[in-house]
Amino acid sequence: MPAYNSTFAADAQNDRMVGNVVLLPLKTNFRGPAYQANSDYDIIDECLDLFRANSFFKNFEVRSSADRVLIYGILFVNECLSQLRPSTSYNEALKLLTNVALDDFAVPGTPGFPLNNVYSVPVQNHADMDLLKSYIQQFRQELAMRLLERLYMESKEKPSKFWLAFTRRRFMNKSL
Amino acid sequence: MLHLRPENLLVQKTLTEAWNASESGSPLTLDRVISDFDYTTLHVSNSPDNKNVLWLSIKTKAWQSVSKCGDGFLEHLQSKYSGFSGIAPVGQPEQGYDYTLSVDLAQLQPDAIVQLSLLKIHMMSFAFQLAFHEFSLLSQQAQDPASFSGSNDTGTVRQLQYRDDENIFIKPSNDRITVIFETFFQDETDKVFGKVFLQEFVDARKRNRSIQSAPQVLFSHEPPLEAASVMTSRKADKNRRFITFVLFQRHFQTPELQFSSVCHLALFRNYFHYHIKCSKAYMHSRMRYRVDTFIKVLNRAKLDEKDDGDQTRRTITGRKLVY
Amino acid sequence: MSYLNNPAIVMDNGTGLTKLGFAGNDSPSWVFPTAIATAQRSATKSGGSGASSSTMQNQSAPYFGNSTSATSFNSLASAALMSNNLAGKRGTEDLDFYIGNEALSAAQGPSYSLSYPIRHGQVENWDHMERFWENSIFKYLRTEPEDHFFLLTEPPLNPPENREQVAEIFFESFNCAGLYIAVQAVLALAASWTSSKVVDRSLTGTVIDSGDGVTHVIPVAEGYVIGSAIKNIPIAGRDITLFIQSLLRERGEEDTTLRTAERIKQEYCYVCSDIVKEFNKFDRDSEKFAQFIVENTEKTKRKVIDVGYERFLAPEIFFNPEIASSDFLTPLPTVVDQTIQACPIDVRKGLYNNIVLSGGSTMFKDFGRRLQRDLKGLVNNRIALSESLSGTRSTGVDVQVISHRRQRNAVWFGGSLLAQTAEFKGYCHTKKDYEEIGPEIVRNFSLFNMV
Repeated sequence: MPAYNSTFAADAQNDRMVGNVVLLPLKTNFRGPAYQANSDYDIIDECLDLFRANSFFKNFEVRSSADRVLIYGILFVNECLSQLRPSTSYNEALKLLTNVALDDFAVPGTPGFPLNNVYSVPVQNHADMDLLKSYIQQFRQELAMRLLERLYMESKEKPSKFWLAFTRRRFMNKSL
Repeated sequence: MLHLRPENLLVQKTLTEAWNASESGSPLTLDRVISDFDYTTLHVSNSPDNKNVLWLSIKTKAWQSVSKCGDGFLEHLQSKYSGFSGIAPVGQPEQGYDYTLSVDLAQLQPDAIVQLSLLKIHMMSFAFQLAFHEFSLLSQQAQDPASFSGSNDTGTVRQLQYRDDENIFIKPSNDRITVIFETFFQDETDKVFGKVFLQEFVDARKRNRSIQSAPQVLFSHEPPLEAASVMTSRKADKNRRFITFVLFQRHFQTPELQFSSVCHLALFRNYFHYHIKCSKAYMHSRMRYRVDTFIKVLNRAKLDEKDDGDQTRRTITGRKLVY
Repeated sequence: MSYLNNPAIVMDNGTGLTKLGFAGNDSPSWVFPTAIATAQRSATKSGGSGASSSTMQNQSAPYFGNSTSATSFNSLASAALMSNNLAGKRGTEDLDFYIGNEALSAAQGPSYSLSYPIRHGQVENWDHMERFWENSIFKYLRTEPEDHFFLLTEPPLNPPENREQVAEIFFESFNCAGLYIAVQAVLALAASWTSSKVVDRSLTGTVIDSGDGVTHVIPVAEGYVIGSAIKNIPIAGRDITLFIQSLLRERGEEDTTLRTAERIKQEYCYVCSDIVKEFNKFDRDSEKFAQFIVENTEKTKRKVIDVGYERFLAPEIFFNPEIASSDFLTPLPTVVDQTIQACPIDVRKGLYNNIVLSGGSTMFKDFGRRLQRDLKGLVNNRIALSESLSGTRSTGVDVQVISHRRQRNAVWFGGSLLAQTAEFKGYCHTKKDYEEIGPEIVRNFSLFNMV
């Protein structure tokens, strides 16, 4: 079986699209343009579940626009993990990752982002680009928060080494 | 390897595994048939009542003739193992086997395992023991002038039939013990190799001073006189060879020397045939090497392809024309 | 002749391991690596595929009273054993070698060089192989070859010349009483008859033989191998071990030797049905994480290694090869399907119905079930497609994967079953035939069904 794809379908009425990226609802408390998800399982949970499996794959076939959000999520998780050390405690990690999430990042579709061939966004439309950027920032914050929960599930002093082992595995050989 | 080992590696391995398994609490269910040289079959299995007790049975072709050699065969075997706890002969041997020992894994020690794997040697050693015993009687008799009765009083000849058509004859006398092997070659090339090998045995003793103490070896086509009395009329078969070892007293003075002599003699025929086969394998490897060098020479002698016949035709610009 | 009552000897020489034993037993008596360590000049130390044997020597001493350990000789630097100089060869240096596990430990020292005479299933170095056989018959099996019949195995697509070489060695050097050379896949099929799922004994089926070096998918119809449809997959036991090792290294475990990885593979690995679900199971239930303890022989040092996701990720590379390698990407069920589709159409149903596993690398728990499920999926998709295109309903194809308890040494076990029947000796070629007719008789062996 090839790499796992996202199970979310782009709902034409409710979800907005910027280019070919769908802005899926998130279950989050952070401020941002995303809608609240009405189910327990949202795209961020799916990113975390599929991260470990998909890290092993070098080839990925994009089947739906939700996949593009998934790819971004996986790459971001990898970047977060590379910031952590085996000795980082929960509080330090919280600070580190909040900074990473709020840091400046390259928006998909703009130069500086790997995997631009998958994304096509209307770079001319500033309103849409801003929407996308703020959506992604909110996405990053929420993802970092939930990632920390999983990493420090067993102890608050050090992260789970089974997750940290994936730092070196690059999904599709790309990293942010 | 130069010498064949006297102990049966597979028996050792099986008993060690069974012992380890029972030590760790889960005894193995065993039912293995193990074969050994000279039509010997050993059978290791659990005893019907207790899984921690194994039965080790042996069946050899030589059993009949060894038990005919004299009395006290079973006691002799028993005495070998009486020193170890947990090993006892089973009254009625298993169906189809000649002798059965029951082994209690809980009380087994490692050197007992080694002795058990030497079961076949112990069995054959009985005949040799009788010969040693008789030798000591005869030599005492010879030294005692009162009962001196003429020259060269010889003892009884014992015959061990350990393979079809092949026998060992043991004959003690007052100053030596003569052991005669009768062996049979099925293959022409074997005879040649065998002859060379045995010639070396005979000559090495003369040539090399340092092994003067080794037993004297002789070989011939006809049965030697000592054994001729016991052998039934056999047509003088060109495929037969008789190899005689003459053992002097220093070869069986102490029990260790006795044991080592018995081991070497009991395995002699197998050792002999093993080395014949090794020599054939060696000849094969020399032949293969030679064939390879010849083929290399032949390859060099091949004519080169003539170039102008197959000349590739080219256009002005240098491209090849393909037909 | 009295050798008729002796059990036959079954020898399965594989690329990695050799299995030896007597017919009638249910498992081989000896299993050890197919390696031979020959004496080498002490000046050069060469590991890996060593050169052929040893040195010329200029003096010898008949060395009685020696045990099986090495006889030490002076060695001269120069020509090989085979040179023209006869005068120097009085010793027995060609007998100075070890096989199997002893070879591996002897090769650690400077005076022996290790060599693997069988590569990819075929014998490459006949000298070494002959000596290997010689030692295994006389030292490990302790039998006189003249008294026994032999059953040997060969890989599929073995050239008949190799068979003749084997026969030459066995009949001329060892004077064996009789010989039968069987194809490994057919023996694996015979071994599967002991499984409870098999109702009729047929020699038609697909054999998936996965050892240490390579995995073969071999279709067999009525006992004859369909040679053109055989497929090889370069993923096998060794790759799984290397993958586990890389996972351990990434996590920064203490002991990441190949040996540890191998033992973890044998004790803890299993095949899951879906890796994402399995990851979640591990998150919910921490009992799934195991601990593997490495102790050295004196039990003084103890290292505790955590075993985590590699438990199910490692065997997953059969079904998703891209997680471990980037050049081979076809999963195992697809290869099996392609193999069967490449066979003549009338045998395909039988091939789907009787898929037999053999070899150590198929011993993972639930390997058969996962393979059956995936293959069934592929087959059903194809049938659905053809039904929609043609409009007719098909009778369906029944996919069945057979696992049984003797899978690890299935080939040896099949040989043992075959060789213990009464008719076996009638099917062998005897020494007498060899002497009358010559080595060509070995090009053909008759197949027989055990009733």
